[in-house]
Amino acid sequence: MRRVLWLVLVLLGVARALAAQTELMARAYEQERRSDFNAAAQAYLEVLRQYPDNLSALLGLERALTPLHREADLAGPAEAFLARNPSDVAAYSVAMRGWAAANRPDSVAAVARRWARVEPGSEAPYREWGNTLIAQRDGSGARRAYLAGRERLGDPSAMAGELALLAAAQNNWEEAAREWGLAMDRYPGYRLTARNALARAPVADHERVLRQLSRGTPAARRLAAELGVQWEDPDAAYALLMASLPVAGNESLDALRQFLDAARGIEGPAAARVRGQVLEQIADRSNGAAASRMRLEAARSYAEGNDAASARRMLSALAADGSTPPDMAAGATATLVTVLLREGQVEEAERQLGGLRRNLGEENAARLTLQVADGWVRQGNLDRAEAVLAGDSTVEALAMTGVIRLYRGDLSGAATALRSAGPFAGSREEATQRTALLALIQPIETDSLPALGAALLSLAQGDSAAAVARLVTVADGLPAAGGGAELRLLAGRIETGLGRPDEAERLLRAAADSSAPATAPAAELELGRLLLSVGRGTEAIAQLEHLILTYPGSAAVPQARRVLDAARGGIPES
Amino acid sequence: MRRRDFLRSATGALAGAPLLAFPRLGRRRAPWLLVPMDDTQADHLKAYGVVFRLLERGGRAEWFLNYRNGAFLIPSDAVTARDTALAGVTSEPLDDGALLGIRAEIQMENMEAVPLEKAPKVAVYAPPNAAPWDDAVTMALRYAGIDFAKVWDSEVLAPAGTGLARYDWLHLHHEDFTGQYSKFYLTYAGAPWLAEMVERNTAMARALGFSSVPAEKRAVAEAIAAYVHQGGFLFAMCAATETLDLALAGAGVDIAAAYADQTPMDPNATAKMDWSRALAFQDARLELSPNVSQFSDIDGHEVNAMSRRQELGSFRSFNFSAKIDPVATMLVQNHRETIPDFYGLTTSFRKSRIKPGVTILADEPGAPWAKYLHGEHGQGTWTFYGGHDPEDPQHQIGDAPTDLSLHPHSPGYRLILNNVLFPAAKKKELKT
Repeated sequence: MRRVLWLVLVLLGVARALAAQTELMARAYEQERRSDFNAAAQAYLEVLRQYPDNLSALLGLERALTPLHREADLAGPAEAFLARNPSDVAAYSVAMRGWAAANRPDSVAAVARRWARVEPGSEAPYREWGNTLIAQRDGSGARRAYLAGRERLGDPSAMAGELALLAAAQNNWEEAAREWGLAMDRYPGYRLTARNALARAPVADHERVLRQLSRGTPAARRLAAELGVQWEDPDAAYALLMASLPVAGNESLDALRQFLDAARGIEGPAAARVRGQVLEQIADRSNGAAASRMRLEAARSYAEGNDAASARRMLSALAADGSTPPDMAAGATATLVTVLLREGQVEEAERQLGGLRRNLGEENAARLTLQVADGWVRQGNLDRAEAVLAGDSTVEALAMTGVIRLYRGDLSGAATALRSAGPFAGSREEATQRTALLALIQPIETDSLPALGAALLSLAQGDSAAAVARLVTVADGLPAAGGGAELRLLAGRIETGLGRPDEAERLLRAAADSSAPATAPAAELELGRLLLSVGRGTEAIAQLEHLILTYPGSAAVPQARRVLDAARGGIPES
Repeated sequence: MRRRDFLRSATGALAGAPLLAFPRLGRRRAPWLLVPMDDTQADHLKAYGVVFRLLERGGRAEWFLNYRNGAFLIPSDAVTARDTALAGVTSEPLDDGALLGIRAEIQMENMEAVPLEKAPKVAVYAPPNAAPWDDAVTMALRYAGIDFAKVWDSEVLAPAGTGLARYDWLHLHHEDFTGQYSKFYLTYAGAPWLAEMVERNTAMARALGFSSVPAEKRAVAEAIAAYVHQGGFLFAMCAATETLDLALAGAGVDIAAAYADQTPMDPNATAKMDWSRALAFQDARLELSPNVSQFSDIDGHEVNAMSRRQELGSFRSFNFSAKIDPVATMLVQNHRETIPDFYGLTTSFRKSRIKPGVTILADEPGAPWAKYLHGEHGQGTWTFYGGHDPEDPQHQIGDAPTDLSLHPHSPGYRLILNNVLFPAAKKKELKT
């Protein structure tokens, strides 16, 4: 009976102590919640004084001291806690942060070593040691901490991820590459992190990073390939990838897909060609519909990379494969039409399109029809172009019909068709071009002007020099306000684009005719830009000032002010 | 007579009748142009440039404090009208009758008409090389078309009468007057721009006969304080605000890390600071770690102290009595009262660290820090504005400079330009 009574008394005592501790902690939490950090810190200290094993109080004390800039005051309580609870590892990092704030790096190191004795095989003490020093911006101290861990653990790849990140932060990209190579060897899952981290290396370090990785394991070499393709050396990157590809099927597929992932979004024909090559490799290692899909994608990439022969090779393989699903075959044909048009084989493109039109969706068929018509226009065969569009009642076709009429010199018919097409046909850029064409012909009073059509057709065919000569000839026969100034402005812009500033200046000055007030501001703005681009800043400023003061209501004035600001150094060069 | 007393008497006399006598240039042209600074203005920032250039040409203007958010009255002569049109600044023709009506309104409301008479000579303290960060004031001045000279340590420390004395208005921005290279020395070790900065500053300190960069920068800070004391106008932003005061208060105390002067910082430096020498702050605790790009606890936001970094909010400028306190009113003229905050190496100023007697021009409501301060020192005045770039709230080293043609109405930049015109509001020479 006496023993039971004694037990009850002990339990009651424990319960009372726990309740008191809980109440003290609740008071501390409340002070912290109210952002009264001084009071909260005092309250947590009181808990620790009475209950020195309370880890929550120690962590609360750190939270309270941080906004007070008193992290250095943490070291004492944390050390007291550790003296009683040396195996409670959470308190070691608190002690480290306290000593670090007190600017006592030796004490930080001592805590880390004590922790390492408690957890002998763990990287955690060294990681926390280094991270604490990084938080203090002590990069070289952090490096020493990580290396101490590596030495102590006897593993040359230990702490590699930490050392890699630190080296990158210190702009030592070669070391970062070496450490990432080691880290990937230890943890293959680090590959993506390593790629993203090393992708931030400055251009000047690219070569060093690639050289370092190329000396490493096959995984490191493949990482070099993935970075190389992003750093604009796609062909060399592809060669490196193929040389380090794993033998096993699944692993090689994974490696190819990872490379493809890195190569996606890289602009330029070389990157597109390399994407085609990788897709072809993936297709060769795949079966059925997946293989067909890869070949189709490869063909598109080859076409984007101006490698028509490879694109056609892919498409032919698709056509020859009876297992290719019909929708994919149609997609292949669409790609083939695009490739043929790019090669100038309009007749063949039209034939291919005619053969598979029914298998294409309506939208795809309409888009390719326009491309074929455009192909005929570029070859100067306006009759065939109109014939392709015959019966097509879409607004896009109407817009192209307007353009073809313009090339024939039928200004009235062109204006009617272009206006009917309105602003919604095609892309925004195409709509803007149509508006510009309308603005060009609007002041011209005659309904038919074949010479102007021929000039614009030359421009569409890429013969800019002939286009300028023809535009000037037409302009000479028109009054300034009746289209002459507008045509000279266009000719001046073309000359600017051709890099012939003297000819451009002559034409733009002629276009800046005050008797053509609708054209003159745009011509003066163009002239101001031209003068600025050839280093004649003072003249450019005078020209732009003239524009702003003479045509204050013109839509060109805001742009003129911006160019003027740039000319005067008022805004940064863009 | 103190500047504030002078302004009070001068503007009081102006309240009743127009004293400015601009010539009539054309029979049909209205004699005045009103440059509104409310939301009808097409380019608030360039309006300051128009007024500044008018003053440079010897013309005169008036600043209608609190009238249409700080409108300007300028003559409608051909040159001014041309300049206004070229700048794209909105202006409204005003005849004498309409002007009389405006003056009557100004007399009855919390408004004031302040004459602007002389374009101040503007200097910007900046090293000769291009730093990898931008200076908001330089950008504002360039955008508005306000000419300025660049000065650096050799000009500041030149013999009396040949250095800063040639200028009415001095701007400081990112400079670290504690001589610790903004405490980027360890964080950005190896960066070419830092190496160049260290080399240039070390060479300058040696050429001027100082034992270290911190010693030389302290002398520069003393010279700047003396310039203000003798009647100069000082406008500082970002880290220049805090470090100028630390350098002044730290006379005789080693407040620089060992990498800067080869001797460790005095561990008791905080206790040894003499705040009576500082312009704006007192009782600050110095940041002891050489690795943290922060100088003291003056800054409330502590952008580079990760665990203590505070989020950006908005700050609000105060309304002052235009007739009683035209100086403060001038400095807060704006078309927005609440402005989004922006970081800098020094973003804000803890109120607990600001000296009594300093005028707080703007603060963040409910927060323990202020953003924009003004005070007097001897015959001159100083204004401190926290943060780096009002239109790039999280500006990073190496970021592209802000294109102000995309921010012609920036209220944050307007506060800067108020300071440029503020010294023009005085009749006689600024330096005594």
